[in-house]
Amino acid sequence: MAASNIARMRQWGRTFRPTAPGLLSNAHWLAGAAFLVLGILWLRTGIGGSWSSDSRQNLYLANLMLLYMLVALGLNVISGYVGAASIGHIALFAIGAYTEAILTTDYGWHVWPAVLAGAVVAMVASLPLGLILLRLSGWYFSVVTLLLVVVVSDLILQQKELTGGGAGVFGLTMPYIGNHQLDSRDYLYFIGGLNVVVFLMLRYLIDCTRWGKAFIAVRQAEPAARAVGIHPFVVQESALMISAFLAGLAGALFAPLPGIINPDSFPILDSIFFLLAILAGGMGTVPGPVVGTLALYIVPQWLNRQQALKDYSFLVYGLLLLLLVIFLPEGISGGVRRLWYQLFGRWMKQDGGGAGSIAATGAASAAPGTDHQALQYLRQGPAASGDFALETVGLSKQFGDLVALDDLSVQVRRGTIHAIIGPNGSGKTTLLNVVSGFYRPDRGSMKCFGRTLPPGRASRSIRRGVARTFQVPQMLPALTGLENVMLGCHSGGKVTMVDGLLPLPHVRRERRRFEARARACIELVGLGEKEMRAACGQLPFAHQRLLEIARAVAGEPRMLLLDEPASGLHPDEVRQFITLIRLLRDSGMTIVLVEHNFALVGELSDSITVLDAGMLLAEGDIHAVRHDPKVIEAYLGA
Amino acid sequence: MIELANDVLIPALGIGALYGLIGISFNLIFAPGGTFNFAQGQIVMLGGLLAFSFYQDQAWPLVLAVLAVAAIGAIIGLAEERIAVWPALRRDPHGQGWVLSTLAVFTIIQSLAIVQWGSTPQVVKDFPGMSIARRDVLGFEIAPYFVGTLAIAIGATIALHFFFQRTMLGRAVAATSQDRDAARLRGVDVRRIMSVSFMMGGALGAFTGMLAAPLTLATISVGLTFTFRGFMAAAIGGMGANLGALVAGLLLGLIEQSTQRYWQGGYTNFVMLAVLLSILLLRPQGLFGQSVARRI
Repeated sequence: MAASNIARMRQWGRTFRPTAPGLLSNAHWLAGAAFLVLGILWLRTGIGGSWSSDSRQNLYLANLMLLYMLVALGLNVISGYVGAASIGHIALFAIGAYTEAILTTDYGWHVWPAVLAGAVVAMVASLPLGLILLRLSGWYFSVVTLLLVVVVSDLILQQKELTGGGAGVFGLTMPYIGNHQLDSRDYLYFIGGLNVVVFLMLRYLIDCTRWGKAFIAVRQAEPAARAVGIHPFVVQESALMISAFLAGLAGALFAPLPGIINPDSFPILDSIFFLLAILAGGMGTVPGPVVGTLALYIVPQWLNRQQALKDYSFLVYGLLLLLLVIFLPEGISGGVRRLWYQLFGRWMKQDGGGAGSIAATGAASAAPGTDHQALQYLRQGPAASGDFALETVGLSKQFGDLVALDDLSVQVRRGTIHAIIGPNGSGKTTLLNVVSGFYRPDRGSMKCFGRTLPPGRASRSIRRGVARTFQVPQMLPALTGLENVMLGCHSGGKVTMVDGLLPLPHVRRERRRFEARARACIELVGLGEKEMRAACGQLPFAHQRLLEIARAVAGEPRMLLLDEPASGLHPDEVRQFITLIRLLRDSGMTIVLVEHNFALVGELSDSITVLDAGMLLAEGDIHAVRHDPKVIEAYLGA
Repeated sequence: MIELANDVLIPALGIGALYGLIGISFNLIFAPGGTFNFAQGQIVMLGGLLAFSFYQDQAWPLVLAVLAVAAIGAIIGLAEERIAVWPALRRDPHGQGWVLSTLAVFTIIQSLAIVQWGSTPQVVKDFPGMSIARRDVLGFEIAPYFVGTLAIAIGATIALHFFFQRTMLGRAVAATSQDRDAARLRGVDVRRIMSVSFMMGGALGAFTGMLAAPLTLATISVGLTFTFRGFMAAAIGGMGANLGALVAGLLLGLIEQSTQRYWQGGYTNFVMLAVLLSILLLRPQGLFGQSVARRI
């Protein structure tokens, strides 16, 4: 019990995210905002006792730290949530700074438009980096961002007419508001305020719109993300753009502060500081960058004071980074939370996580009538046309020398439960993967309700009314059941990453709509409040399976593909599963299931396709298939 | 034509061989755990500085210096694996915590090297028979040094090929790189394989640093450059393909020399990054790598 508790705390510590916007979530961002205010007050009064003694230097450092916090807030989006660690943010910061500097000195722009231009240029410069994420594993991105730092500093040195080479650009002036030129103290409040605004916007985007869950899904369960209609590349590229915009903005705001910038203003060590900061605060948590930057503020500050230690600054950063990765990967706030639960956990009754079966928890509330709310959602979906839900013609798929599908033509009648069976390696799951767009077929075509399905476009298939589940449920373990199912609503959303930054009426409406739909779907599969609130990783396997079906249904599909849905279920749970699938069929949905359990297939399915070695062996109802000599031979013969 | 060979092709092959060797040392470490060692370039850099201390400063015999440099490289590799990489992999076998922990090792080595050697570049004398001075051979001007590096790189590639094909240990490493979990089930001690690979990678990295030192001078600033070039050689060749790394290394040498000759040396990294991105986008598995079907 104790061990499982600790495991749960760790899970919580890592990416704990309550069902926003609940009490805890409010506390979360309130704490963050308070931290910011406290931090500013601390900076204002704490350093050297007052502004008077060596205040210019202190003000400069305080400003710099707030600008670095801005970078960290953005870095957290791409490196914390989407999970691609960037070492190149100092280069983006430098690009922003140089753009501002060049535009204001050479071209006579005002500071504010030049600042905005700096942010935009950094954002555009980051776009090619995103291409790495399109096809390669995340660490390639990390290396290439490191290379970016080298290349940007090379280019700054080479383009002397533009950047002044090693001497840099000088004569930069602080911006005006009206007739008042900001001094560095005004700047402190301005940048502090900007940080609060950015923090609250990002927090809203991540906690309260569909995008926050999409970020996490792309990192933790990419197949699931694609199945619910999230295009991973689009999400990654957008997260990178947000991140680069903020880094460029911070850089452009930085340039006027020292009045002169040159390549030495942007040491690569600072890139490591950004990563260190979000790691210390808690990667992929909303307050992480704020907590981390403030907690580590002392480090460069202290190193700066101790001239003797200057040589060891790399060592301090390196050791801190190493210690954090190894001993405290969930960061300071996660570590504190874990400690809290280890000390006081036994007095706090945790809900969720019990090992009940569906039969014990949900059976009473299950058996929903045909007037169930979720089914009404389904019926509101676009009317299906054509006799066949799915028609494939001559599908072939080969992996190396292995022929997985061989000229396969299958038809699934609309509104039926259609089973696909066959011995191991007969191509059942491959067929499912081809139909749902995860594999691109070598030859052949597919039609869904009379319309051609584009091959190999998994993230588009839900828009064609095709949803699916996986052999091993692809859930996000740290998110609650409700949040996992809300992910299934993604394709029905209209909120973009721009309007999602603000709690506008239509954004809140979409959230409420998603939540209502997700709740209805969870009730439909026979689960209740307890499963909605518990972290999905703590739920028993059977519940995760059901939640995955609920998530698929939340996308309002017309055809549902189930990959071995009954494996690992208790016989009682199988009964309930049968009821659920029939209910879905009776509401008009077409069900295609790949299944090994012959008894279940016989009881449930209206028609059956038998595959062997990627070819069609037999089709028909259970009686026809059971007595087919070829089927008997394939299953029983050598 | 001869001028082109003298000024571009021959140096390109010799320097490219060094990049290939660094790429191969990245591959050795990458093989069992799929971990890219961010600190590898720093181990190469240390190899050069150690060569300065042992071979130039203390005037040890060459063989002893080579053995000492390689041994220290192996020890650093082993320590890194034990302290930084294994704990991260144990926490999450398929996670990428090692990106940050090897980056931490990168910064730690950087700092210690500055303290020990300072940031002034140090001269390391030529190795016997590998003079950097050009010599006239059949009308071409060839520096014996470039012939030596190319021969060593080719020799290392062949030796590693036999190691992975013929020896029990090599086959265990190869099996682990294909499927870590399956290898473990077959009784391969994955932890030991990881340690051996990091030691081999560290030793080869430090050795290459020593080999490069007469040409590049021994200095801390080469660490980042070698990380850059070695990664490119490994990635363009295909992660894990040693022959690929060698060929890609030679290609990088060619890019570097022609950029320096026909444009400006300052743009070398820029051109290389552009080439890398184009190749990776067209062929993510690299020139010699094999693509693996994703299982869903």
